[in-house]
Amino acid sequence: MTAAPGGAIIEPVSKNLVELIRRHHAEEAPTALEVLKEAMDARGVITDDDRRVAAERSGLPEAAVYGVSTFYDDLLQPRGRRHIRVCTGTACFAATGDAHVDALRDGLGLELGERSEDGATSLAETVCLGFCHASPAVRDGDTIDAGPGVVERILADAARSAHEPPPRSVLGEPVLTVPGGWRGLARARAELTPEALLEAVEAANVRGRGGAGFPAGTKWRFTANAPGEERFVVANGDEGDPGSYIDKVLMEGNPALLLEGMALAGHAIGARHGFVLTRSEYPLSKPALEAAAAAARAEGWLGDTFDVTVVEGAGSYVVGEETALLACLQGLRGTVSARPPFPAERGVHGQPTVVNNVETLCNIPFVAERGADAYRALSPGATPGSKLVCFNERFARPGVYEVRFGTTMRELCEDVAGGLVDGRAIKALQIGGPLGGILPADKLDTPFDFDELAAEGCMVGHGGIVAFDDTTDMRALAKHLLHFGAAESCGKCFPCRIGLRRAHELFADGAPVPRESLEALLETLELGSLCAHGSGMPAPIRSLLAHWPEELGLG
Amino acid sequence: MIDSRFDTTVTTTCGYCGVGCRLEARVRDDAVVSIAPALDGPANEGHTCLKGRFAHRFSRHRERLTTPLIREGHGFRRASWEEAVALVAERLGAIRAADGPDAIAGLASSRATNEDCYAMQRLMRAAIGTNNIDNCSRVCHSPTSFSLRKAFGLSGATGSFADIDRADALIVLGANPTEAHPVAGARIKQAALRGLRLVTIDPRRIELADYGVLHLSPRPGTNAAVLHGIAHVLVRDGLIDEAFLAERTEGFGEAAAVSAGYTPEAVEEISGVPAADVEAAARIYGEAREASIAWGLGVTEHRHGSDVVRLICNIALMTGKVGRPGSALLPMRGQNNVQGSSDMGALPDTFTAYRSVGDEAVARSFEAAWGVELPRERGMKIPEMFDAAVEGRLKAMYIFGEDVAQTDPNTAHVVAALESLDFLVCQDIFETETTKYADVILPASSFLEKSGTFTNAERRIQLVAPAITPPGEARTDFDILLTVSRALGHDMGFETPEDAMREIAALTPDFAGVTYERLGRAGLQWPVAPDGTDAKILYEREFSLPGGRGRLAALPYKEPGDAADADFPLILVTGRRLQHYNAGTMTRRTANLDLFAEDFLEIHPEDAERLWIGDGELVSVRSRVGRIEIPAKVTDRIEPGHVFTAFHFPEVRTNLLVGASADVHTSCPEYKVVAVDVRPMPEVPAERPVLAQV
Amino acid sequence: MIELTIDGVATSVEPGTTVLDAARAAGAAIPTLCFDGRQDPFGACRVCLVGVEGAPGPVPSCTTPCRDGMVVDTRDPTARRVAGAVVELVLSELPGPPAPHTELAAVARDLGVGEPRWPGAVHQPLHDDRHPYLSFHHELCISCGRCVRACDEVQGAFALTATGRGFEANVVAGLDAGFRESTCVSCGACADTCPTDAITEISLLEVLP
Repeated sequence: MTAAPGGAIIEPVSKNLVELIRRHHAEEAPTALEVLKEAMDARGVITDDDRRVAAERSGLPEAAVYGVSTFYDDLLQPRGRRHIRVCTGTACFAATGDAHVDALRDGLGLELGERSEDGATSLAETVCLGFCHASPAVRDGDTIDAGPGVVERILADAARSAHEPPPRSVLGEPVLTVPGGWRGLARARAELTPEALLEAVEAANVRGRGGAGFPAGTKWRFTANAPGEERFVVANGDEGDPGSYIDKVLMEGNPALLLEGMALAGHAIGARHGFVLTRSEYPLSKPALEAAAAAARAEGWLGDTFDVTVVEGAGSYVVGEETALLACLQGLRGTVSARPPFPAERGVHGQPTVVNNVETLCNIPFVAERGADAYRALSPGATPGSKLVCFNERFARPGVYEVRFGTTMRELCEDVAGGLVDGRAIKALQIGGPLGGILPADKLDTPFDFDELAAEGCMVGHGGIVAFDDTTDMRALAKHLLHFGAAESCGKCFPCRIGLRRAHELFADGAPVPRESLEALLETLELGSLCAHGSGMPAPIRSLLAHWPEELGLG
Repeated sequence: MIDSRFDTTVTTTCGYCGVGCRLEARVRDDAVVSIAPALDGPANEGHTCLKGRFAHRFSRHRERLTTPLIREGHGFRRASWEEAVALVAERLGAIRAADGPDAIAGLASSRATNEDCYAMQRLMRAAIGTNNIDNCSRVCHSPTSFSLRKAFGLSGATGSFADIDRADALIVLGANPTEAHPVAGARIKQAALRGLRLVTIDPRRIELADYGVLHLSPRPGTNAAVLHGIAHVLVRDGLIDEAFLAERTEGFGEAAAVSAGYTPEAVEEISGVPAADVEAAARIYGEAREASIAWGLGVTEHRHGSDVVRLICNIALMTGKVGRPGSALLPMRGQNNVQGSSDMGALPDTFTAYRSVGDEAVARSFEAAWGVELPRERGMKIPEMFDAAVEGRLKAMYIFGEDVAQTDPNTAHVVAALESLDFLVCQDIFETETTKYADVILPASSFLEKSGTFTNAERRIQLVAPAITPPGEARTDFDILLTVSRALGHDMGFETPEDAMREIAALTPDFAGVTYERLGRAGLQWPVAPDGTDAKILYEREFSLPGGRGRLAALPYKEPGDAADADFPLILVTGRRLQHYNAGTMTRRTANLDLFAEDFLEIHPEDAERLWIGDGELVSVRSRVGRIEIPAKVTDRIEPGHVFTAFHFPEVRTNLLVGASADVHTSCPEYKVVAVDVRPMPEVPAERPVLAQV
Repeated sequence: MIELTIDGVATSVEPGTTVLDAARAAGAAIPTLCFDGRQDPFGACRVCLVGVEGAPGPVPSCTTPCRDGMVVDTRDPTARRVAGAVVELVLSELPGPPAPHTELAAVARDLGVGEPRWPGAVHQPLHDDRHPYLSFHHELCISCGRCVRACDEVQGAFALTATGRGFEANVVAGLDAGFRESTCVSCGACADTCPTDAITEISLLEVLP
């Protein structure tokens, strides 16, 4: 009961719930979240009977199942026979200033999260569908439509699947945009001991591509050394950053590369099983990965030595944070937990677990096949390896590109993406997701790399680059970002749970925003929050305060 | 922080079960308004249950006895203390003069403090002059006490609840801790979720079974066979501690020879437990580095309950799993002071700390202290008292804090005994089924109104402090007993319970170092050396028997006293509900009644279907000695062939069904094996249960 | 043993000790809201922030293990300022000031929290008094998780859960049909640990200060 002084054990999530799940997992039970998702898919709404069934099948107590059922967007927004999800991501905002949302609301006569009384139609908000190259995007059933005329087509019940351009590479020899060939795993299994592979990844200094830039080798070393009955590899495919669709392209366009990277991680740390957590906003990711896994099993790359299970999330941005991701993977509420303990010590089922971003793992086959030196040579004088970036619809040539670290933002925006459409000028860029600062146009000569962007209050993040053109209302942008921040707060730590709501309220109506109290609130979020969601959300607001104070309506 | 909502906050010890939670009673206007667990309570560590925390409003219930009552015709009239005490002294004095002191018997209460029980046995022994003193541990853990003394030397748990946290494996046998001992139950559940390998053995699938690694459901009354099966496998597979057996025990050869006959297959035949499960249980227990065993009344309340306790001791001795942290034998004592009431000598054959009334040196020490001559022959046990009353040999009883007419078996016989008495004194806080037969009722005090000590199931003596005053003219039990004793011509010379504890310490080596000051907030676990050193773990180096060796027993399995047959095809097991406590005198006078208002008979779906019984329907339950009516609850928590109910409700009077069968060594009644016939009730339900036709 | 300095005084603790436990053992008074010594540390309220030399900002003492050579300042002005602002946020979500005897009121007094600078939406009254002993006033819930953890880690009844997310986060019993319809065993550990009286004993509602 009481942790004796000196023996305090900090638990990532309820150890009892994890134990109950583990005991049921031994019986191949589905998670509570999986059962609830099935119920939602089948009937469009979750009843207490569904929750009881989920409790029975998953081994979770009924109350805990109730908690899960009230956490995820997918379980909360009732579905009609025709379920329409409108993207409210930042790229869609940059394209329309949210006019597409209002048009759909008006056209359908439904509020966000509402289902028509006859159950025919429902409208839900979703962030984000990953069609940022063709914003605005709307999902009608399983069809994702995007681009000019989308609202009219939806209202006419004539949705069509939007085109997705293939990723391109500026490298002479592309690393991430060519199909995986299992050559890295073949070499590792034939020639590399786990220790040799680990050393190669450490020497390559593969930095995490999911946001924090933490060296993958260090994570792996911790996990390999942590005591445990078994070990797991988890690919974080919860690319929730609005404006980013890089991992989507990897999971759906090059799934074998990810599976190979996971198998290599398993080889290095001694794991026999891996999980990919995909987003439900990307409905094609899970089938693509499962098909690739089936093919890999048939070819002997996956199977007894290492195998992969694909799990789909249910709509929560914060689940991209690794402790929340592990909670979601086990079917629990996707709330963040204090670290330590890191997943390297206590992850899936309380066992040592490597959690890496999808793109990070996709870098590993190259390292395994060609070695650390070749990898480091990809971006001379900068962070090793290459990086995928993606551009939003405001650019003339939007899409996913493989680039070198150290390239300036100007080269990326002008040479790679072709500048903005319609002759518009860049007013600002948000790089790396909603927790990244906003770079004004006069700072476009900043190189694209971790330290250089950090110096400008920005970050590499996921590599999503969202341009705001010269018509953008910066106060509306602040409100948009804070709406997202407040809506996606997991509700665990107090600063984020209440503070983001208050920050949004400051901008919600037209009232002047008192600068002093806004800044005190931002400081509380930055210094007090448990995870990067709360501590990062102030970054773009700080940028707006620094560069466009006159547009914010400060009082 | 001072909380202005309360006048005072008093730290005391819970008066419900044997866990012994330390509580903070928050008081306003001389009433308890809230109770919180003490964060530093060793047994509860800042937790308590719905009884300890919430069921305190009985203390200010309008039905509390507030003045002495004297029988007048078919009713009672109010009386002054002077009149009531004078009447008690006069009538008891007259009966003693006419029929001798042994025509009088007393019952001490396992709900009362050590000091109360000590005063009660001194009242009977010194003021009356008889050893006819017993307490309700007779009907619960007397077999435990008897057999632990035989096997190890002392009558108490060998370790502490904290050992559950240190054990690698735990067997819970014939106990349902999450309902009957909720705080210990929660501790076991948490430990099981942390990895403790928990084996539950009970005819019902108790809640803890869901958290364990193995559950065995033996037929009621066949625990001994299961334990033999476990012992068999331990010996067969070399899971015994030969060095421990050689250096610290005796009797292994004979015990092993008996167990040799109980192959898992043979045990399956007797108990219905699959042979593989017997093997698995033995391996879990035997292979664990540290393993403990906890048991309850499902072990003791049987015809051969004492034997089962010895067999529990056997497997602990065979594997050397006793006397170490994590390897403990933990009887789950039912009442707050069932340990202490017996420790205090409220037993017909022993003084304090189980020293025989026939032990000349001990008897002389008490004679010297009390200034009287004491009888050397043992007195009557409770069932013997009732038999003697019916036969006319026992003329008067002084029953303190017990409702024998509801809780004791063979209710019709008990009632006949009470009716046969010339004079019955009841000392209680409410009118009960028993006080209906009283000549004088003395209004006493609840645990919230008195000072003294309780001794919990881990031998921990803990202070009890008054939070509120007794209602009306009610007095503390200690005060009443002193007054009655004085009126009978024996002045105990105590002012306070603390004085009594000084005498107990002076006359009892195992309590030598006990002082209230040393008890402090955390209490002490006896034996307590003169310097105050207590004993969390017993028998670390030797057992408390001549020669220092633990004794294994060679006891074959014997059939229970009752068995299902064509006329009575189901076996009734009785037990406790979480929301209520024993006779329900207290909990039924709180909102716990709102949470659990009416008892039911648990019956397996197969039996229910066969007998045309629907969930919630009223059924008639008939045994060889009585009949009751009760609603059915169809549940697969119970095995087919068995039914279960509790005994908290006078409306049900479950114990009408329980016969005279009892443990052969201690007379503990066989509450746990009663053959019954259950039928749907076609007729309009009777208002009250039908008394048995004996 | 781990050697560290707390408020200028050298101290040593067992490995695994949190900064909060070490600081309290050393006599420092650190306010907390989501911490209860009977439960595992949770790290939600962010009121136990302290300064640690070399750290980029204040750290939550309850979930931070002591490390050799750590220099802890429990009175660090930034940590106290942020902790006070967090409590100010908490007060701003409640429909009224907390009852004076509650832990929340005590922590607010300790940190000198005044009128909230950030008024806004407050939780709407939602009372559940269907249990004979336990009263649940959902609008007073600050989602500290103590009741949920008491039910899980202390009692093992698993009757309570956190619900919703963000500002709408709250706690319910079972499938939100009250304690009685849940697996609640009425142990009251939730009421015992609640720092705001969101869950409290009905008997105490009748007792005025």
